[in-house]
Amino acid sequence: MAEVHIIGEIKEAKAFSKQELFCKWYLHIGNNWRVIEGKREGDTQVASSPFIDTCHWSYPIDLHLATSGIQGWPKIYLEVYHLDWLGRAHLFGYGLVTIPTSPGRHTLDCYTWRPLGTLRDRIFQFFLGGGLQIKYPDLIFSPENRYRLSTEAMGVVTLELELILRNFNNYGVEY
Amino acid sequence: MSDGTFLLIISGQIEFLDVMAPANTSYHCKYEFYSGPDWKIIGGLENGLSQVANIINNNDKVVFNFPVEVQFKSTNPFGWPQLVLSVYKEMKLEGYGRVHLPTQPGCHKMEVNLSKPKSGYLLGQLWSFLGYQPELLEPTNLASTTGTNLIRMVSTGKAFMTFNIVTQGFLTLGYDSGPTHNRGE
Repeated sequence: MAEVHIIGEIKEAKAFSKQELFCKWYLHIGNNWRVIEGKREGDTQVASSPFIDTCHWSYPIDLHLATSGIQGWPKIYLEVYHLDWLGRAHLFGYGLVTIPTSPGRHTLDCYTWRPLGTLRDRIFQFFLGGGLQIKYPDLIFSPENRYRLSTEAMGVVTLELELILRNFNNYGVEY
Repeated sequence: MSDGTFLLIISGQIEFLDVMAPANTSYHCKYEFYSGPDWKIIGGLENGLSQVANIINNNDKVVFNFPVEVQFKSTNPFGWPQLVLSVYKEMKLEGYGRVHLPTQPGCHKMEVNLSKPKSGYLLGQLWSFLGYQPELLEPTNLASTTGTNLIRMVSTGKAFMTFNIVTQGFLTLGYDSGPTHNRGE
C-alpha cells in the first residue's frame, strides 16, 4: 500500500472579528484510506494576541496514512470557535481544506464561513452571541446539499503542512 | 542503509527573538526535542539552555545565536521531531514556541510564534496582574497536544531560527519529501 505522511501545523487564524479563538479539526478520508498512526481529530488551545488580529496556535499535526486508492484524498475539516469571558464557546466558522497531492511544504489558507440567520437571529447573535450551527456537519463535505445554506464570510485559518509520500511510484501513480 | 532506518541530521541555530523587550532585562531560553516512539537521538543534545541575553536599549533584539546540533535515527517519519522552546524573562516565563523540524533537506529559515498561558478565570488574572505567571508543567505537551485544549494563551512575539537538514537513506526507503536541491541521482 502507498503511504502518506502529513506533518505540520495549524498555524494561525487571521481576520476574525474577535480574539480568543480555538479550532477543532477532524481528518476526513475516503473508504480506501486507513490511519496507521496519529490523531485524526483534536482541538487547539485558545489563542489571542494583544496587538494584531491574528491568533497563533502552532498546533501540531502528525498523521501516517495508508491507502489503496486515490479516491477520497484526505481533507481537513475545521471548526473555529470563540471562547468568551464566561467560558462559552460560540461558533465562528466552518472550513474544509484539501490536503495537496504533491509532496513538499505547503501553506494552505482555509477561508471559513458560518451560517447566516434571519435578521432576528442576527440581532440576538449580536447581543448574546451564539448563532446558527449545522446539525449534521456531513452536509459540509457533500457538494449536493450546500445549496440549502446561506452563509457569511469569517476569517482565514492558515495551515502549514509538509507531505511525504511513499511507494506511489510502485503503483504507477504520478503526482 | 539496508536495515530500514534513515538518519536526520540537524545543524542549526536559535538566532534571535523578536519580543517587546524593555531595557535592563535579561532573557534566556531552553529548547527540548519531542519525537515519536520510533525515533532515537544518536548524537547531540536533546535539550539545551542558552546564555543570558541582556537588553540594553528598549526593543533590542534578543540575540541568542545558540547552536542546535542533533542527529536522529528512525525507521518511520511518524513522530517527526519537534522543537519546543521555552523563553524566560529574568526567571519568569515569557513564551513557549513549538515547531516541527523541516522534512526537506536544505537550509530553512523559520519563524516560530511564541505564546504564554494565561489564567482562564478572573481571580487568576488578578494574580497575574500581581506578577504571577502560569507555566506548563511539561512544555512538550504542546508538541504531543495532550491536555492543551482550552488553555488560554497570549502571543508574545516570535523566535527566529535557522535549520540545516540533511537526511540519509530516506529516498532509498521509498519516501519522497518533495523537490530538493540534491537528490544524489
